[in-house]
Amino acid sequence: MTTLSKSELITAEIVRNYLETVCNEISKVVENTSISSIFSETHDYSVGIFAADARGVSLLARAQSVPVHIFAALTSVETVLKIYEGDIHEGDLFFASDPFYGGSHIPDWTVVNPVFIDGKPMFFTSVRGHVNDVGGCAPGGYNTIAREIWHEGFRVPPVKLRERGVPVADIWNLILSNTRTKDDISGDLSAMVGGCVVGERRLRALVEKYGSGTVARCVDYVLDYSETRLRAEISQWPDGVYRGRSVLDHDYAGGGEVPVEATVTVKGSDLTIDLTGSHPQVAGFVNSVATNTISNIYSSLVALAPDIPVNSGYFRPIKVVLPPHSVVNCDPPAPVGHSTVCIGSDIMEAVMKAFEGIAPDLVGSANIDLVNVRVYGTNSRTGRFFVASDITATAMSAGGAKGTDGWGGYAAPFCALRLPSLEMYERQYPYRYMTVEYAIDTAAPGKFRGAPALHYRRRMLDPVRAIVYNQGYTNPMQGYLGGKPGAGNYFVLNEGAPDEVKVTDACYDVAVGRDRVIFAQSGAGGGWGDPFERDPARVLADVEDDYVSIAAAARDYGVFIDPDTRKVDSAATAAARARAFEARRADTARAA
Amino acid sequence: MLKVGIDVGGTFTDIVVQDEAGGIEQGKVPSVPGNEQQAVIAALSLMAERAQRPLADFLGDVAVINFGTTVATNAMLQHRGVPTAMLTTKGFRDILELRRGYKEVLFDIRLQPPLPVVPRRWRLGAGERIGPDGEVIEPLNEGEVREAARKIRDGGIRAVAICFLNSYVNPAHERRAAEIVAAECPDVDVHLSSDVLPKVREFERFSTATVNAFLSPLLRHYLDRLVDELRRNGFRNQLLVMQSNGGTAAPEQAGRLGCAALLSGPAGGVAAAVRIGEVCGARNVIGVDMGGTSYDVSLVRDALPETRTESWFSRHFVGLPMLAIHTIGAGGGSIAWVDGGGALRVGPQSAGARPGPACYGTGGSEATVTDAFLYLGYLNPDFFLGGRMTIRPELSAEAIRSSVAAPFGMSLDEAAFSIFRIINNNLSNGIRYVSVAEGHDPRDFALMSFGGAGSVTVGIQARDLGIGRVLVPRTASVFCALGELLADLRVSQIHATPGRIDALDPAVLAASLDALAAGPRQELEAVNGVERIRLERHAEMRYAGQVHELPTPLAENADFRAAIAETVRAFHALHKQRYAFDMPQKPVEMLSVRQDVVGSRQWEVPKFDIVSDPDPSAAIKARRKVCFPDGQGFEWLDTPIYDGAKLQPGHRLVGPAIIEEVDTTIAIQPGDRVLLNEYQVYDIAIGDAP
Repeated sequence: MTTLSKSELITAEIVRNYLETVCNEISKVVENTSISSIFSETHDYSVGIFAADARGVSLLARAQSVPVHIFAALTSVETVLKIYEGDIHEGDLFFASDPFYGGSHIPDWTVVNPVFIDGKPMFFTSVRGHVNDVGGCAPGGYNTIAREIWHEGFRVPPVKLRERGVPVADIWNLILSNTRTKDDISGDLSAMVGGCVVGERRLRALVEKYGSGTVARCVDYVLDYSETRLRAEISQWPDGVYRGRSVLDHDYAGGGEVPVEATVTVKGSDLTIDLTGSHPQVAGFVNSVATNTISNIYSSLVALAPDIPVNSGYFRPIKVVLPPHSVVNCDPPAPVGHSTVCIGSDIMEAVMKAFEGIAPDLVGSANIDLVNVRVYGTNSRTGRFFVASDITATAMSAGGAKGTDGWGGYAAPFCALRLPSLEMYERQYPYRYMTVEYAIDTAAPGKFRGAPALHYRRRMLDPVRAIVYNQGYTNPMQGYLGGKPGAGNYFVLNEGAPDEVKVTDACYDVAVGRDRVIFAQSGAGGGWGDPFERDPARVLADVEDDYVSIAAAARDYGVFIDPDTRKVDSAATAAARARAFEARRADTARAA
Repeated sequence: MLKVGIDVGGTFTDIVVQDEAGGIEQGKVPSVPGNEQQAVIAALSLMAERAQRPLADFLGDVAVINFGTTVATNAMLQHRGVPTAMLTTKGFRDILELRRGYKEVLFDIRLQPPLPVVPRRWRLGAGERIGPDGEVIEPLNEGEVREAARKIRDGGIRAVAICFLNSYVNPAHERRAAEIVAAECPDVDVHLSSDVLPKVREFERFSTATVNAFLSPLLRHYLDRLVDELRRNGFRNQLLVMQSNGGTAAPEQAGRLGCAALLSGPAGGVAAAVRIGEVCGARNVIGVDMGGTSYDVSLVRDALPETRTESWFSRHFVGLPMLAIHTIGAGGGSIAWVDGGGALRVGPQSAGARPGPACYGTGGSEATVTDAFLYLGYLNPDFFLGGRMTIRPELSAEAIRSSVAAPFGMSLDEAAFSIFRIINNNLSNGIRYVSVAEGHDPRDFALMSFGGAGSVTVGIQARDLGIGRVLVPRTASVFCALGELLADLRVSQIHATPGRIDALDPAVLAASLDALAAGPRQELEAVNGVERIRLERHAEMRYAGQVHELPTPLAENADFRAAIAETVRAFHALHKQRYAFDMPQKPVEMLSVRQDVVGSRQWEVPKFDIVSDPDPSAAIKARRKVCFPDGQGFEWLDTPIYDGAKLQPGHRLVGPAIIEEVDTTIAIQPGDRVLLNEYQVYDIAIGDAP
């Protein structure tokens, strides 16, 4: 532990708060100025401040963002520094996107800006964000038929975007020319750089005020602080070995189900998370590099202890074991494009399930389940090529948790993503929304139920091509402590037409004609606790609000509601619940 | 004739009366929760009494009463609007609940949902569809509207918001549905999303419209009763209501737009900051108002307060232009505590008024910011709230010892000063976030403190941010009421535009904006005291593909085509200033124009004679040890304590010093120079500032 004078201890706390404020400022700049909607509207980016000293690079502070960036941001900066060791100068600016150089998948671009103090790079400001297109076979970056990394886009290992203050024009051009929407992405890259510059100004002001020596000592404190708080949390959990499992429906390459196994060991204030037993590396694009796997493990932990600031100190009490050549720790040149969510979310869920036995009051769905479609083509109104990555289809993910039902769209930790405005998208893309609404009897039952599934229907106004990728049909998001699983996901292409087809896994580059309809169901997270323990008043309210039908209230919750008086029949409810309880006890006894 | 400003707050109702010569009389009476108009009459009676006139006679001489109210604010905070329904495009009734995926605390899977303004059972669908260019894709199903209206009529609903997709380009369906609903349920208030916020983005528009429906009937009913009460007591002239946009409005207008009154209270303070700043020659002002639990930061640039069009109020989105008041959880009652990582934190939990800071002796045992101020010598135990309240310093010391000094192994001095440092840092970060993060350089601003507690630390925030000038008005304790009296009338309007600048017909836009302004212009011209109407126009602009708009002042040029071109140039420059880059080669879009129709009226900040001798030493009432920052440490300085009541315009003094006013204490840091100017404002030059 760092030893600080008492006065410096207070200064350190001030510095810690200041760094978090700076991250929020950088984040605001990026949000307000980027072009691609996945960036600016859905917030699929992250912001970090890093420090470097003789011992290596540390993440000091980050802005709230989607989980996948948590750890990848650190490894990207580390890789840049390793490659350019001895060749980092004031005015340099770095870029990287290659998953096998500290990244996660190719569309996540990282910009790293060294902040020189007293002639040395003391800090780095960094913005990492998911851009809309990175070349490769599939517009939008998700190539469901990829079998190796080169099928997924243009890999950029660490390069310099600016050298000693002079932009390296040929590198900019090379990177941007390998995207389909160069103009927009050029704006995004400017926004990322703009954010880094704003952050640099603030860090210089900090050092000016306190002096670099004090600030350096405060940095140690900032890291120790998070470690101390996480250890305090872990110490409250019962020692032991706990297991969880989550299964991905398919690998997009005909390979069947892909399970992830998590073994969590709690010992004092140390935690070991071991994914041994997870499926070997697969042919399809759901393989995860170690960095991405670790990010998703941390996401579950952050959901379990949400108010501890995440930085490199946070990572210290945790040991992660990943089996080699596996779907959670793959070797090049495996395709990895989908791993940030598909296998990523299963990693989160497997870890969360293991915690069911450790911290039952804190668990619940923290992941999402992917159901997505990218449509692209030429918009006849503007004559321009477009790629619409409309995440409305993936809206639902919230499950029940102790004390609250699932609610909202994206209201799991992935909710840093914001749903697009339907009116704005109708202005930009040649399709029309017909339905975006919850469906009755689709919420996962539980003492606290999940959010309902969303039904989503669009009519195409121009002929388009579509890439559909779906998971969670056979293995929807799981329930906790006796809560039921979510409703699951699927697509219907050409709904209502003679060539209607239900898609439960994927289809690549299919034509969808003008006036044809694409339907999707996005199922939400699981319930928490036994549905037969749900307060009948809540069940009645759900019936009044059309979340639950009268029939489902009886079937799923054992709550009987008179269809005429709209009141709970307390006697029938008590009797049904007692019978169910009795039957379950008998089952348990038989099993024992 | 007299002008009156009244601000009904949670605890006190403040009143300011200005005579024709500009002279000001101010007063305070206790508020009556749940019965605001009673306190209003009490405040007016107090002023009549002081003028030694019967109330009817006094009110007969009042030309205008400007009024700030917390009716809408409290209804929202307590979730007590009227039972509200929503009629929306069939198939889209969950737009409100989806919230575009927004969740306040990202990783908290146990965060409760917000209480719904309209529960799902009252979100009713009707068949209809308008396309993005305003074309009718599916005609309005009037039978379904009628059916919904009957359900609403029979269900005890008092207000309905009609919210159809793309109604901002073509409101025909919303308007027709409103006719049907009005015919079926004449007693139900009907609000259209295309009236309340005619702007692209359905969630934002629908949420604003439903919040408006939820609040407006309450506010209108309340204003009706108030006007009746005032009339009965002899008032014959104009009542005006303070709006969240920083201007005032007639009760008829205000009652239609309940969600425009959410900041009716604090907006008065910002309006006053604008005017006081102007007379003091500071057109750029950062205003700070520290109360018991919160610290409100606002920003005035070139004598115009910053507004925003994206606000979350009580977890519900409201998209009307509102003053950008940024609130952080830091106040006199903020509690110092040690977190699980061993760090000293201050707030956001507050001891509030009950149990209050430890020194109140009313059961609070945790050290608060007020306790630290008291221990460090900033507050005078014998002159708290002007001597109206007894406080006990020994309880502060004990609380600081047990909650901070003991766990950290610090001395009491170190512990108290540590609380002081942390709270100062929180306050400075709050100011930094509203100024710097929006691309402003705080060094171009004066910092104005007008709350009860904020003037103890304001000199430190100025230093942290590089600000050279601090202003502390002596009217701080009735600042909101004063601002209501000094504000212009202001009606905010929104006009949607087609998007790409090159698709814009400047002549059509100019004509539309003028036509839009015609109604309010007429209404405002009819208001007694309005001298001139002016239009403030901001274009909501962005680079093609961006999703956030940057409001850019629409250039004033008789040639409207040239005005648009100038505005585009201004947009590039503003973008560069705020975000460190611009993209001049990229197409620019204008999504809407915000137009404020402003009715200027005469205003005057009273001016006083300057004393010939600047020496204030006669006002020194005592000396005591006060703990001031010294580098990263501190030092106790023997400090003169000035009786604010004895200081007069023209007096000058140099810190260290403490000035004790009845409702506030001002700490002057060593070396800072103070002039009490002719507007009764303490004008403080920080450090080396001129």
